[in-house]
Amino acid sequence: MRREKRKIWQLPWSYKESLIIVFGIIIVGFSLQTIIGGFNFYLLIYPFNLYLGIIILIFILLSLIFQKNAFFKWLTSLHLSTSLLIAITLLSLILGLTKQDNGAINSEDVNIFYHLGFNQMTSSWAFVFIYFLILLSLGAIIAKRKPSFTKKYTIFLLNHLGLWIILFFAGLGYADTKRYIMYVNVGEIEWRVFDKENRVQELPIAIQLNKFTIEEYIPKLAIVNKKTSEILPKDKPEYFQIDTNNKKEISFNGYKIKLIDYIHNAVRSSDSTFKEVPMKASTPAAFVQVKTQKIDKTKWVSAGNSIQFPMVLDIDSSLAIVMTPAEPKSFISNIEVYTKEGTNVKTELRVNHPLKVGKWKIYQYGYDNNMGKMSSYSSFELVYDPWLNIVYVGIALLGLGSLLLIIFGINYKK
Amino acid sequence: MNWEYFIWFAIPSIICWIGASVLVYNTKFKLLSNLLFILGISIFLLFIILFWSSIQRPPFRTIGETRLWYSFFITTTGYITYRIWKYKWILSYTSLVAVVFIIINLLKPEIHSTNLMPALQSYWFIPHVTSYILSYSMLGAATIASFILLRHVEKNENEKKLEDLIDNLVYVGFGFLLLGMLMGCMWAKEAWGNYWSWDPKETWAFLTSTTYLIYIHTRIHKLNIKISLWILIIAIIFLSITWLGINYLPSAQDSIHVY
Repeated sequence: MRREKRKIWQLPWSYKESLIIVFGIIIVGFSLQTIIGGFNFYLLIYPFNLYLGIIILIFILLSLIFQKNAFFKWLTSLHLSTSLLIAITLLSLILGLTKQDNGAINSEDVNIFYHLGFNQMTSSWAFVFIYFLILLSLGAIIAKRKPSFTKKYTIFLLNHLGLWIILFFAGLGYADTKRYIMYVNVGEIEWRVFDKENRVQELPIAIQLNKFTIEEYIPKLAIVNKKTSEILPKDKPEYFQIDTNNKKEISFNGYKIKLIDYIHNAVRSSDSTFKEVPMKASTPAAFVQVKTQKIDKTKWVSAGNSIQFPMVLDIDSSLAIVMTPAEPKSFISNIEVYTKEGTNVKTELRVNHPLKVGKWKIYQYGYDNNMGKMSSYSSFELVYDPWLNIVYVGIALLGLGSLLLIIFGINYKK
Repeated sequence: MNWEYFIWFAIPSIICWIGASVLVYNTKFKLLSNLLFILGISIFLLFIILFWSSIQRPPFRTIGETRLWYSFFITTTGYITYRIWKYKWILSYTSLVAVVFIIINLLKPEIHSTNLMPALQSYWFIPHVTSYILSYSMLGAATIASFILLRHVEKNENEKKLEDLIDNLVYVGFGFLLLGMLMGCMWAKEAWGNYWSWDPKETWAFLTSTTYLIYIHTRIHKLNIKISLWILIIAIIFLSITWLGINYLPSAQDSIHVY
């Protein structure tokens, strides 16, 4: 028996209707954007995010009670899930192809795309609408599925609930997070910070910077064209890594180069010589020999710093051997943290090793790049995120779900 | 051991892999082809080990180094898939992809021995990158299989086993993709205080994974297989942009992932 061809908008809705509705919502979002501008996530500051969260949960509960209703059936259908995935992929594609800004905008950049909110995609109405629709649909799908002790259900639950928790708390909790930058001079104590808009704020937390140290990698040598400052060879710059254990003559760009001596913490001792002095103003220096059939030269080479002049070895009138500026290996701030409640923590703060003090996390942020080792200050980022732990729960669930997917592969359904 | 020696390991590996890929079609040489393929992988792995121990930092930093791992993982994935699913062409095609990546590394190495900047000195570094490259190699193998299946579909041939193979590779590959992303989140939180900041590389990784999710959902729904296979091909394009193309995007010039 042939089934009668289904007409569009005839229940139950399928891909056609789902895609039309989802893209209709995106068009409404873009229209709204041109009229009233972007969505301000900071409106969702506590307790307003709590109210909205409760409304979402009530909606999901309603979908569970009235699951026979055609609308809720459609809300939890694969047609809508797939359509929403397509929508979020396309919106992310815009996000990935356009340059995003933080509000600072040149007048020449104000064009149709600017009015559609392409430059701040994640807070454009279209993106926000699709995000909330995903929260509703995904939540209703999780609620509807009958729990069972099967592989299939476990993997479904871990992946979908994990994702829902991350989206729910990261999105709705965004306005409650605070992040500030604090600059502290060596030997001083500071409690004032700068927010995103560079406004000064006072925090109930103070940091004293006892000492700031930078360790540097051993630099490299290169041959440059003095007129164009290009490193040879022109298309594929080559660097000679200084290696104190290897002082053999090597062939480099057609020249024979030999490292005779190297001092990591060097200070000029005469016009043309260096000696080792472990102080902040010191800079790496290498005693280098260069040979061809015509020339045989030796000289100290150094990249210098803001106090010491650079030194180069002139091969001829157009080429010279130079040292690259030393790259930082690690920077460490020796700090003491005080809070209003009376806690006092002393530690060495490094990149990738933040410090947790009460509700705050303190990160090593930066230093005076122009001064390098001689930087007179260190900067820290202070982050407060009350919803972090629950987001981590979501990440853990999703991680476990993906691990099970790897283990079982296609057999997860059985 | 440095990149100058790479060619002396790369060429023998290539010879082994190509030899195995040809011999596998002849049942008389089945054992020999298996041995050759494993020998090729072993020679390649030996270079990675010697290289790693001499540069004194994990070789996951430059694009050239990730291509090195990719060649290793895609041949390993190809071999395991061949042993389980018995498709001979998977050996040939994964060898071909590995050879292409080796040749790129020989011609355009992009291997300036970069020092590890402080943000990259983390125990998340190795699992994060390994998970991604493993995922890329499985999804790459899935793409090869999807081209083969598309040809069968054009001829109206039913290939249920091949469909299962693709689904399996995508599920496992997607699992690693997700795991790599989540580890990236944990790492980003420790390094920058933010688990997600829509950095261009993050955005592209996100939309790559949503595209694979579209594939998975259309498969659950038993949508026309042709549509699903084309989604896989779009997904591998997005994946390539995430991995190799980011550096060339104007939107990504301030990205913290450009190297």
